[in-house]
Amino acid sequence: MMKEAKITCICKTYEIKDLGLDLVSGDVVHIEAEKARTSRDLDVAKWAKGVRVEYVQRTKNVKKKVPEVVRHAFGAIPSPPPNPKPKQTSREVEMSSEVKAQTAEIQGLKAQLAEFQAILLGALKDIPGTQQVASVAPTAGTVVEETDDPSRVFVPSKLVDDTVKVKAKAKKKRTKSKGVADATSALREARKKE
Amino acid sequence: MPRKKADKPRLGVGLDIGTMNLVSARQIGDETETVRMRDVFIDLPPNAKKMLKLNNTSFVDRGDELFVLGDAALAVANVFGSEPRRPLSAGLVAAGEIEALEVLGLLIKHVLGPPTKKGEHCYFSVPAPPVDDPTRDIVYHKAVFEKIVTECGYTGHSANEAMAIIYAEAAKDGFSGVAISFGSGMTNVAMSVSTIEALSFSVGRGGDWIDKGAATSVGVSQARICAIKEKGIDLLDPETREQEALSFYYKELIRNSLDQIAKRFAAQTGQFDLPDPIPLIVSGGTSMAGNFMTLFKQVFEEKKKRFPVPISEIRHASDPLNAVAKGMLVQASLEHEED
Repeated sequence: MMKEAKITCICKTYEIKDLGLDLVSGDVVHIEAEKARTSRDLDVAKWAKGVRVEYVQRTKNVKKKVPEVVRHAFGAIPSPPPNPKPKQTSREVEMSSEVKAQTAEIQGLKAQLAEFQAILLGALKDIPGTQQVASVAPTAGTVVEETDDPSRVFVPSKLVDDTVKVKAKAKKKRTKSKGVADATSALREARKKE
Repeated sequence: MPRKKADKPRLGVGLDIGTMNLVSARQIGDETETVRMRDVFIDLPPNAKKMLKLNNTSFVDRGDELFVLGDAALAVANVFGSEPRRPLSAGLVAAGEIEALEVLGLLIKHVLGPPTKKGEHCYFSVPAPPVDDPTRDIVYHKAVFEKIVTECGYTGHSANEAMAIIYAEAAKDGFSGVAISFGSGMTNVAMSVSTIEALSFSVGRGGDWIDKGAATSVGVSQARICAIKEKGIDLLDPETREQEALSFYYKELIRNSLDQIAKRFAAQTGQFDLPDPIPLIVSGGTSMAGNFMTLFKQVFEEKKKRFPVPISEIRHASDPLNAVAKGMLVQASLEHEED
């Protein structure tokens, strides 16, 4: 099973050039996790909240079995004639031109966004230590890899109270053995060989 | 009187953080010192202070409540008719359990003791992600203990629990082998090829799962099953119905672990070569039950033909209760040598 990045477009339209992706709102694309991690344009897209990224592990798709040909006693049943294509109504004709107009609008917006991306990339280069934000939303049937970014995990401070003296019994035992020393030497030698 | 050279602690400490026990290991001269404490506590109202003092029971006074830590908590729980609490659940710490985190801080501080020098390296064990419950993550668990160990004055490093067994027990095999740590809350598995971790995972089943399953199947309390287990049991020759149930669940745990190894290994075929058969090392408190190793070998024999990993021998760790802590110590010692 391979780990993949599930990219969901959450804005009207977004182009991620270095991945060759041209997304519109609601589009969901899966790409290799490694590719996603090295994509600079994807970083920008996440930062600009144009896309949401989740790392998932999908199960293998099972190919559907091709059904066997059923042999009938009186010969094969002829297949029915194909359905005739429905005539386009005037409403459908109107909608097609609407879609065309929207497509043109989208193209215009894409061009603007491409310009915006270029400006952002330029600005990002000057900002030191820009952090990624990867959304983690576990869904049924997927394994979601959480980001290793430590700032996403809140741990309360002062977990060890210096003012408290712990009075409790613990079992202390000393054993004379060369085991640990020998293992340490052996591991040192083994790591040198690598 | 000047300290003898032999008594001087060497730098580096290993820490095994388990659901049932916390164990630290330190090298002092040519001896290995382990400190073990039960990973349990009980909280009591302030008015219990008098009774605790009369019983000569150590406690921690936090003003509005008292904590009794470690083994004493089990004894006190019986007296007060309450259940001892465990900061870890199935091997992992739960987010939001702030009181549990504070108690863990106290327990670990006590088990580790003060550092020999500020920033002394401490390797602490963390489990691999559980394959049977992907929603349980180890990121928070790792971060909590790193913070606790740092606040105790050490430089904390997390390391895989089962790999520590390889470092402690497989030096003569070139640090190649499969290690299974049968703990109380979970079972950890790692496969190493010449010191490199080739495969690791955990399952959320351990001694507690055995107790729960056996208790439910025969209709007795978990505490009773635990007591029967601790009294002593021969897994190959159970005498009572409760012991039969225990033996059954031990067998199931072993079977499940071996099946998971086969499954995970098969998924990674082609990623590494195993030119020679490697040993399988069993460790952990749950493996201390009577005839556990014989039972393990019997179950393995049933699966041997289809087992994808060539195994040279199956052996019990030389020190099953402390192998993880010792393996952590090996890594911590090396860290100081490299400094």
